[in-house]
Amino acid sequence: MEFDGWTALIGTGTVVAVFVVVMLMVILAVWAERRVAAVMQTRIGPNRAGPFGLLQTIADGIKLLMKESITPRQVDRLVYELAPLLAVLPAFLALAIVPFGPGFCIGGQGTDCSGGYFVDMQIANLNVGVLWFLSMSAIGVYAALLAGWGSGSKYPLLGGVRASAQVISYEAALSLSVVPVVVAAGTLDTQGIVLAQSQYRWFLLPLFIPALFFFVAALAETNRPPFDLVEAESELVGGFHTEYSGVRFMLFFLAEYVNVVTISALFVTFFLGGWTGPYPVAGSVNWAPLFGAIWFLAKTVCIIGIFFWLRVTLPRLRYDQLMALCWKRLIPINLVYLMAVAVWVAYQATGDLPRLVGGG
Amino acid sequence: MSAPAGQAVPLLLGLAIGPTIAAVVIGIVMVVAGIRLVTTDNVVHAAISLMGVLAGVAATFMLLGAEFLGWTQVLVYIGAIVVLFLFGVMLTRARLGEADLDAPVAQRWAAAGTAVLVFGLLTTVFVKVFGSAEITVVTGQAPREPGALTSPTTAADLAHDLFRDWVLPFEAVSLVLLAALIGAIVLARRDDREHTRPRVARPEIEVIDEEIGRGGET
Amino acid sequence: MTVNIFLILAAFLFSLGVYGVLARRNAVMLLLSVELMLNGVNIMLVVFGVMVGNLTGQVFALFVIAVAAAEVGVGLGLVLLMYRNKQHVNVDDADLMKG
Repeated sequence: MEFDGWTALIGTGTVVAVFVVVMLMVILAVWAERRVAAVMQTRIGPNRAGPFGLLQTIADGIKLLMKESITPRQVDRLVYELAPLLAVLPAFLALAIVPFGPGFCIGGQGTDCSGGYFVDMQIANLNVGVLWFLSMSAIGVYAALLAGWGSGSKYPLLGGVRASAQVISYEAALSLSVVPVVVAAGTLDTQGIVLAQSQYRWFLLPLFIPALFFFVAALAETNRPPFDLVEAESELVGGFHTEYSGVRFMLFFLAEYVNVVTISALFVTFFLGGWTGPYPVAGSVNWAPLFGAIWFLAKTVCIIGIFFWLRVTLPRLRYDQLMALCWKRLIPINLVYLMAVAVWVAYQATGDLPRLVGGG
Repeated sequence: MSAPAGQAVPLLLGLAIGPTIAAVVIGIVMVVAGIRLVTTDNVVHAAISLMGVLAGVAATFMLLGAEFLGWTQVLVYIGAIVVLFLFGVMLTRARLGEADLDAPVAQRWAAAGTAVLVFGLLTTVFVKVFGSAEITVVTGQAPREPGALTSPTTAADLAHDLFRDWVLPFEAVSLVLLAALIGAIVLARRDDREHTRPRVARPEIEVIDEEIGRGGET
Repeated sequence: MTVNIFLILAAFLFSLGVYGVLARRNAVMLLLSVELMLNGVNIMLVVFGVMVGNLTGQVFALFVIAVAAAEVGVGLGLVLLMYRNKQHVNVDDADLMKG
């Protein structure tokens, strides 16, 4: 496969398609969250803008765009301007390795697609995809940290310090819950992880504990309730983004929801078999990639739904509970589980258990 | 099933503008960020500059075909080490534009002289010894050619080398990390006496007010 | 592409680190400069690894990254301790052991 105009076009098309799909999901997610919360609390929720209030998010977006973006006097300009960008960029970049469906071939023949163009239904098919995702979520810490410090004001600073301590801690838990998946699948490539789960061998069952911990860590990583101490209104006004308004605030808001979509999509990829599903996939029908994408999005929406449900149901944790949960529960249990998975995989490969566990 | 994975980043960096130009651009970014890092008066800006340098180093690694190492660099260095630095800055109350960051002028000149000397020495040695050496960075999905020394290293390749030839150093490093972990906890822990002494309960906000030293203004 | 570009860049980063370590007095700044030096060395390791044609350079760069993490952890622990005892982090005044 050469690098020519068509390759570039396909690449650009993939980026645009993923961006459009994700933006649509974000817009709907913001609306759905408010409606779901309203239903659960026997309220009505936004229902004015458009049918069922569907356009509410767009209306809010326009409002924020039109508002003045105030820059307080005491801010550190460089840091203050950098923070919202560092919130949004990693959020979108992390999406690059999400496989939305199986790759397909245009105009070529055979399994290696000779003479044609192979289209991956993901932006970047990296062989270190998992590492890319972890790196991007690590960079996401800076948004809160720099916003908190750069605002030069006490509530954002407190929120920023809290946020970065929380996100760094749960970053470790998140990584450790992904590692069993990598060990079980034998690859860091997200598409490979999905393929390892074909035929309904979803990792959710054998790796239930890492899956659960991944979800908990994902909640904390995206600063979603019940881990939203970062912006605990009753204590910190708005947390690290107290001093932000207008477009800059919108970027933080956008980043949060993009993160929710990304991390749900990755949960599906890692534990729920990605785009594999009961109806024809893997080449038996021409439309297999489309069905793959539909299965994938359906699963993702379910996970996002759980995010909303937990937000309405659970009260916020205390800070010491938050840290104790991460360092005394998630990380040690994950480590033990990782060792067990590694031993099991090695046993499958060699069939020599006694030597693996140190006997004989 | 799927196309050979893994060349996307070198492909973008290499084929879009050519490896040499990519190297020069990355180099300029790193030099500017590095100079800013050692000259700025603001510790937080210095940490942000370090982020720029580290990102450049990661890009250099990827350009050299060390993709796994590049992302590890981003994950560990940018994602953890610099964040730790920023924590340190916030906790040690490094104020904006504080003048005593730098040593006296005479010492600074001496430092600059030493740095120039080191740079000159290293560069001379490198140019004399390796001046004619060429490397080819294989980008895209071209097959590995005889003359090409690098091609994107997969995590599996690296793991093979690491766990076959370098197991002992690996274990040693893990021991170092454990020691560092314990050491850091022991160092940063408050003295026990401070716990037994009755402390006046103060609202968190008041402490933070002092921390940023702007309590009076707000 | 010649290796010189990368090697000179690495040497430059290392020298900047040397300058930073010698010219700064704030302990956090010193640690930041040490990171510059480590990264210069890392680039050299990877370049030489590529020239030799095996992965040893990359393996050692990985070790350097791991050790750097340990170094920063302990280093910042020391800085915090110093700040707690002296209310500043100026390394020139940390001369208790001077005769």
